[in-house]
Amino acid sequence: MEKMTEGAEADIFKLKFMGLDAILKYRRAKPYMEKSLYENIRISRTKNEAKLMMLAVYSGASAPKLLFATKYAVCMEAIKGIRLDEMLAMKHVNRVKVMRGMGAELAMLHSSMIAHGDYTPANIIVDETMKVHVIDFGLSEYTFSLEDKAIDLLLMKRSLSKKDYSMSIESYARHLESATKTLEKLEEIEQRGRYQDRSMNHR
Amino acid sequence: MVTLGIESSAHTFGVGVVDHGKFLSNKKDMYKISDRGMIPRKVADHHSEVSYAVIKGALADAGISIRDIDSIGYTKGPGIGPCLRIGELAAKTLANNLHIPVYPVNHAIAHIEAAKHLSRFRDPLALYVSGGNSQILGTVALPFKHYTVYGETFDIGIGNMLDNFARAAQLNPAWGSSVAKLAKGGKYIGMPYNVKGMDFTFTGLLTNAIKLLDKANHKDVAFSLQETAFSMLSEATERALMLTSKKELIACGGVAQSIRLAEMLKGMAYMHKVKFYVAPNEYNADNGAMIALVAEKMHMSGIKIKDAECNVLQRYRADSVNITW
Repeated sequence: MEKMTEGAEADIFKLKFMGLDAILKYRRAKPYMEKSLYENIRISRTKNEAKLMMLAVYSGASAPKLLFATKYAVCMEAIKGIRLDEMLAMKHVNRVKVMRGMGAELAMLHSSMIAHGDYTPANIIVDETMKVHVIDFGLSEYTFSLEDKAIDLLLMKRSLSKKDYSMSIESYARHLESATKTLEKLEEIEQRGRYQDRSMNHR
Repeated sequence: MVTLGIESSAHTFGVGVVDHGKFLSNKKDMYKISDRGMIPRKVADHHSEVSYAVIKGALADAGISIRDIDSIGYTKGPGIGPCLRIGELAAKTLANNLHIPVYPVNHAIAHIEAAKHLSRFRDPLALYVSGGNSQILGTVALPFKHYTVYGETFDIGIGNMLDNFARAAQLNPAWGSSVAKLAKGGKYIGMPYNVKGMDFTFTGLLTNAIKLLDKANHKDVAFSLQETAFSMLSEATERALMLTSKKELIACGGVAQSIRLAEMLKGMAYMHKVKFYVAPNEYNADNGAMIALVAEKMHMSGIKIKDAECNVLQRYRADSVNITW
């Protein structure tokens, strides 16, 4: 097993599972936190992630297929491609298809009551055929609340340029019947005090 | 180059003198909080009463006369309006009489810059935690050099949360350090944990803790509340560190005086081989020296401040400030 990267809370490994290229995400212990506090979070987040990843696949979205899960780790099929944030940094990229795909995938998740929780280009993988895949369900939730879905849109808006966002949101609205409701909620959230003049550029 | 800084954003009226990045003096007078928190009008009255003595004391400590000062800085915001106006008035009056320039300073940035200055870090990520604010910030160069907010509280600041709890638990004095004292040796009970990406919320946690006061041991509740809140902050900071891949971390603001929070952040930073620094308490609590420090940096950068910019702004965002130094 070879270590690929280190995330904020998990280590990512590359491995072969029954002949398949697979990714293993192992949630580290956090020795600086109270043990009983983090242990609960660690187990429930892993469980939640495995569950939501499966739900996402059932909903028809292109998410990695779950292979197995343990107490602290989830193992999933590897997706070949590059991360969207790396791709956007390059020149001469056909953005239209990718951005439309990003909006459509989110619409698919929302229609099955899944809020992704961290819907940014860093969590999108684009394959050779320019098809968009969603990864990292670590912060996802199965939820009926509009607010959680609107937060997805907010995160997407904050992490994309204005032009890119308009393409993806247009495709989102086209693919989701209840899109007007989420968009209204997004507007309401943006009106709230703390958000008003928050800078939009992290990159 | 001697700069005087006046801080009056909340309960502290502070005056500090800085000479080429060296802190010469740091005087303050704090409004005594009884059991009910701050009444803006009364705090402002306190500030105007003590202003003369504190300014005089700071000058005496620094061993200089008022005529030696080359520029003046004051807190423009964020803070409580009536209190901010006292500091503004004092700074403008002095500047006008002495014919020297006056600089409006952002309080949050002053905290970060003071910690950054003392730590000698070059490009740190900053966790700014105080009464009304809880933010994770770092500098970015585009479109202009400024601090960007990576994550922040969606509702109340961590300090306010701890104070509110202290009041509900009838601690005296009602603020964070009393909660920390009570929390010693407590046991952990489950509490809501709300981190969304790099942002966090505290109200759910607070409501839950206050409800638990009737049922559970106060010691355990205080302990769990503190552990949960600080864990949330550390986790959000950890994410921001990973995102920005910065190698330095500072904690600043009033709540950064907490030993437990510093301990957690230190442990987290150590895991990622990140350098960590927390300033001495004198500079973490509100003080005038940090305002003077930033005013001096502004003065040295040659920035021209328009008269219209010399006002107070209760909601002066740290990410709206152009960093000219």
